Order: sequence, then structure tokens, then C-alpha cells
Amino acid sequence: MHSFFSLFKGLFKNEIRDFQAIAWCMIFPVFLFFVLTSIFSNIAGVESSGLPVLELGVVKEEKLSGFGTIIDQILDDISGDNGPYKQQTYENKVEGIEALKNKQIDILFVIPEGTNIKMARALMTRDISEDKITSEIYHAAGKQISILASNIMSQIMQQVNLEISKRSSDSYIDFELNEEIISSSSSEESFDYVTYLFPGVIIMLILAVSLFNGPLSMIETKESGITKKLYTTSITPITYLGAQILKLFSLIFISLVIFYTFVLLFYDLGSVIFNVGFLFSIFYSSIVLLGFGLMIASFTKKGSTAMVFSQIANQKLMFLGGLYFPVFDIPWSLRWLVYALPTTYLVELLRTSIGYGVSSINTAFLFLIPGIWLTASIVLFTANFKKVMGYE
Amino acid sequence: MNRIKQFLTISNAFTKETFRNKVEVFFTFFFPLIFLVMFGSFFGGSEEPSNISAGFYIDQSIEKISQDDLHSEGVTLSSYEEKETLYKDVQEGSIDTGIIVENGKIIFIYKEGDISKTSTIKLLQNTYKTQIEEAVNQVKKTIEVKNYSVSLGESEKVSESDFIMAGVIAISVLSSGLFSVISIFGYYKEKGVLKRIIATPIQPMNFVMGATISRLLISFLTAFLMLGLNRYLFGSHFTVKWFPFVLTIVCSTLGMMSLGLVLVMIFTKARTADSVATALFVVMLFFSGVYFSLDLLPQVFSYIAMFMPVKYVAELMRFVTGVENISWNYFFGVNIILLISGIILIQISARRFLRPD
Repeated sequence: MHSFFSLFKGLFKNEIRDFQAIAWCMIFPVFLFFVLTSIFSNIAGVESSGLPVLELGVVKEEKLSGFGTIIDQILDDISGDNGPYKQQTYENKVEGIEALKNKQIDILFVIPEGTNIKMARALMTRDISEDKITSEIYHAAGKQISILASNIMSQIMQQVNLEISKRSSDSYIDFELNEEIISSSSSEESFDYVTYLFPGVIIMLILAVSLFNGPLSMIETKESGITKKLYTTSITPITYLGAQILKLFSLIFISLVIFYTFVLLFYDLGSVIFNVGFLFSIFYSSIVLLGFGLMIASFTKKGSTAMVFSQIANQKLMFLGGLYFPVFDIPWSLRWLVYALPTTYLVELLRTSIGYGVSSINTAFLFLIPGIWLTASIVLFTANFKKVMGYE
Repeated sequence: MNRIKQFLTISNAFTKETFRNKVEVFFTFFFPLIFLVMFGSFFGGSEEPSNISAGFYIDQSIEKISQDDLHSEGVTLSSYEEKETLYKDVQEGSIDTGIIVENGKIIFIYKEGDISKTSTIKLLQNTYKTQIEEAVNQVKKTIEVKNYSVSLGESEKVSESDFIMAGVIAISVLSSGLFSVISIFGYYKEKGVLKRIIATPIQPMNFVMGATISRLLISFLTAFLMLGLNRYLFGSHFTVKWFPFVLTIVCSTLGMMSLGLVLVMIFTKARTADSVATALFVVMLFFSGVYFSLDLLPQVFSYIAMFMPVKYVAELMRFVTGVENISWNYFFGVNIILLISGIILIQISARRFLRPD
């Protein structure tokens, strides 16, 4: 027992003295969480107060007067320091499009010639007039912010039409807009991306330890001949494996403590992240993913090969496992992989345990599929035990 | 051995060495490729960031609305006879949102959790409310809006994925330049390879030039591979300006090599330099505006991005692939900075690392 703990201590110290180990499993999750919550909390909601002020270019092909000033009024109402738009006027369409191409504005709104007269006719002879003002909105192709700005502007103009119609008709039927959200959260609180992301980063943290600190460290120790030297002492392969596993669990534990501390200090996730089901799911995920790491170690001989396998596995398990954003509706050419990966189920298990499950996968499968991966990993590892442990 | 032969032999040796090194092959070719395939599949080449499937149920008492009245780009609509089936399909994820129109109400049903779709569904709510009210009240449009998209570059049709994919090529150039010099001047130095090179009649500059040319070849190979796969798999709309493209690859690779050289000079241990480079690489992935548009992020991210060389390489790459326009002054300015920093640092390293102790 003494030799076991001495070995564990040695392995653990060796690991935490390596900058890379500390960086990937302890610092990187904190950084990633901060970055992704900053990015996606903004993108997630169009009503977010974090939405930047949109640059609106306006071309008036005639000076607005009379009823035409209604459009001026609308544009003034939606422009200002508090957004949503900041208005800039251009002499003509060519100049405006040039500004759009030079990224000086996000969209260009063109008010055509004849607006004053058409507006007057439309408002005064509503029932008989067929006149309408055909305005144009130009947005930058493929640019998210520009498409968003264009959509919002189109909606504002549609609202103007309705408002005019409403004011000129007593029998106007106004529809009330309601939302019925099928909540993935079991609580009454609204969906929160920070809570949604938290389990994803926890799985990422466990993955980093399981894929990089696990197989790479074992293979490097074997390649450098240290394991052979260890076996000349009273240390057996089982003791060595036990010490390795304990080291990995310790790394996961310390990384979790650091991550939890950061989240508790800077975010408000409440007590849900301490519930027993969630903590058990973390433990189960750790076992499954550590098994996955050992499986990689069992079929790679060289450290460089293990590094490549671990990197590929890490990227696939992270991004296709849906750790950061939902992946259940990507094309089937990749979706089959989503359903085959253990991380898809593990992250869903963690999310379900805090009431944030987003898929329709049965809870039993959330345990079963990772369980199959664990079993396969153990079988493969056991079959190659002598080779992996370096005592053939 | 004459100088040209020396130079060609070294270049050849470095290229072979790169292809024999699994880790380098992975980071140079496959790592950007994984991202290319994943992000290409997520965005699928459409201009709209996500396609929405919607089902609607309209109470029979409202006769004036039909499916033709509801239209929005990127939305696939299907009609439902029963509310229960609609609810079930939303619940099971067969459709993204359900729309029920009855008793003066429009009810949007959707599941929480898909952050990109939630924002689109929220925008869709007002669009459909307007269209329904227009149909029911037979609203005469006073103001009609026509939407046009303007390509920012030379490609006529540019999608959101084109923006990302041009950035992915920039990432691959970054990876190719950054990690190679750490391998050459960091690990080779530690393993004593450089000492052995110094002992031979090889000119230090030939050695460095050989390594650089080999790296440029790899960069070109990666960039062409990405361009081809992007067009073949995702039908990209790139219009490549070939001369500026070649210039960008050369200058960017040298520029990224110079960044790696700075790290090798600061961190004497190759492993530490490697770790810092990897961390820097990841930071740049997020802050350079390649995967996430900086316009939608808080202003502070734009300031951070200004210090990320890959942001500029991505801009150059979008320009040479016809996705986005920049001025020729800016194009040449950035390229010259990358080129000069590359040449200066490569020369300094040749003197520093290939000088006898």
C-alpha cells in the first residue's frame, strides 16, 4: 500500500509539473467557459441588450415632406445612441452601396422617388388607391450582422403597414402573439445558456484529462523505459495501473474544484450544480471517458500515434458530442456519428440531471450507450493489458 | 556540394520529415480539415445561418389565411390538421417550431435549447404575425420592402459558410507556419540536430531557406486541398484571385513562422514554446473572428482580435477568395508586414541557432 501511494504521489507530481497538463485540464476549461458564454449569450437572443448598434445607411431619392415625413419620423425613432440603429445619410444608391461594401454600414435603406405623393395618396384614398412605396434594403451577403439588421428593418416596415391599416379601419383584427416554450429546464426559470454550457465544459475537462493525461503519459513512461524499471521493484502492473487511474481521478477532481470555484465566483448558477444526480453523472462520465482514454492507450504503440488519435478523438467528441451547441439536426452524413459518440449521451445525462436535457433520447440510453463504450474499452484494454503496461 | 543542391536537398529532407511526422501531418492537414468538415456541415453553404422547419395549424373559422400567405426565407412550412400532432412533432424534434392560429391568438411553440434556432424563431414570430394580420385584414401595403444582397467581394454569391471557410484556410496557414519553426529550432536544437548541421559544410542560410521553402510547399498543398474539398463538399462560391492568393500564402506562412520564432526565442524549452503556441492557437481560433463574427460580440472582443495575426491573414484570405473586399493598400500593407517580419526573424534565427557555441 505504501508503494502504491508513493507511486501515485510521484506520478501526480510529475503530471502537475508539466505546464501542458495544467493548461489543458485546469486553465483552458475556465477560459473556454468565459469565451463561449460571452459569445453565445450575445448571439443566442436577438433581444439581448448586448446586441451592438447597427449601422444604417439611408438614401432618400427625394426630400421627404408632407406625409412622407412619417418615414423620417420612423427612422428617427429607431436610430440613436441606444440603437437599434445608428443612421447615416448618403446622396445616392451608388454611394450607399459603396459604403456597404466598405463595411461602413450594415444595411442600406433606399427611399424611392415619389414617396411623398404615394404616401399621401395611400393615406388619403386608402380604399381605392393601389399606390405603394417600394423601398429597398441592401445587406452584405453572408454577413451575420448585416442579415440580422436587414431582417429587423423589414419587420419594422411591415409593422408600419399594419399600423397605417389599423388606424384607418375600425374592424381591424389584431392578433395577440404568444409563446409556448417546451422547457428543457424542469424549473420555471427561462432557458439560460450559461447553465446549458456548464455540463459541456465539465465533459470537455474530463476529456482533456482522459485523452491527454491518460494514454499519453502511460505511453511516454513506457517508451522512456520507466515502467520496466518500476517493475524491477515491488511495484506490479496492477499497482501501476491503479496509481495511474488514481492520478487521473485526482486531476479531474482538482480541475473540477477550480472550474466550480470560478463559476461560483463569477456566475449565478444556483445550487443545481451540486445536486446528487449531477455529481453522480460527473462521476459516471469520468469512468466512461477514462476507459476511452485507456482504450486509445491499448491500441497505440507510439506516443506520437497516441497524440494524433487523442487529438482527433478530442475534436470529434467535443464538437460532434454537442458539448457547446446542439448537434441533433446536422446533416445525416455526420449525424450518425453524433449518435455513436459517448459524449453525446454523457453531456445529455448531465444536462438532464439539472433539467436542461435538449434531446428526446430516452434516459436509459443515456446510461446504456456510454456503458457499452465503457465495456468495449475495458475488454480491449484487458486484451492488450500486457502490451499496454509494458511487461510483455 | 553546390549551394543550390544543398538547398534542394535540405528542402527535400524537411518535406519528407514533415510527412513522416504524424503529429505534424495531423496539425497541418487534418486538424483544419476536421473543422472544415464540421463547420461546413453545420452551416451547409446557405446564406441563412440555420434552416427552420415549421408546422402550422389554423383554426377553420379563419378562412382568409392559407399556406401561401406565410413565407419566409429558409423556412420549410407544413400544414397540420390537428393541434395534438403539431405539439407532438415539436416535442419530438421532428419540426423546430409549431404555429397555432386561433381565437385571435398566434401561438408559437418551440423547444428550448437550440441557441441558434431560438433567435431565428423569435425573428420569425413577428414576420408571421405581420403576414397573418395582412392576410386576415387584407392590408394594402403602403410600404413594400425589397431585399437585395450585395457581395462584399468578387464572388457573386457569398454564403456565411464561405466567410468561415476562408478563415479556416487562414487557420491552416497559421498552424503550418507556427508549429514548424518550433519543431525545427526548438526540438532540433534540444536533440542536438542543429549542432550536427553546424558541423557540416551546409550554409546556415541554405538550411533556413530549405526549411522555409519546404514549409511554403506544405502551406500551398494544404490551401489547395482545402479549396478543393470546400468546393467539392460544400459547393463554396470562391472566386480565387490567383496571384494575390499565392502572395498571401507566401507572406502569411513567413509571418506565422516569425510568430513561432518569437516563441522559440522567448521560451528556451521547446516543449514550453509548443505549449504556449498551442494555447495561442486556441485563443486565436476564438478571437480572430473566423468562427464567430466579431460584429455580434461585445466590443472588447474586437480590440483583442486586433492583436491576433490570424485575423489579418483571414481578411487577406477572404479577399483573395473573393468573399470580402479590402483595399489594395491594406492588402499589400499587411502582406509586406508579414513578409518583412518573417524575413527578419528567419535571418536572426539562422544566426542565433546555427552559430557554433
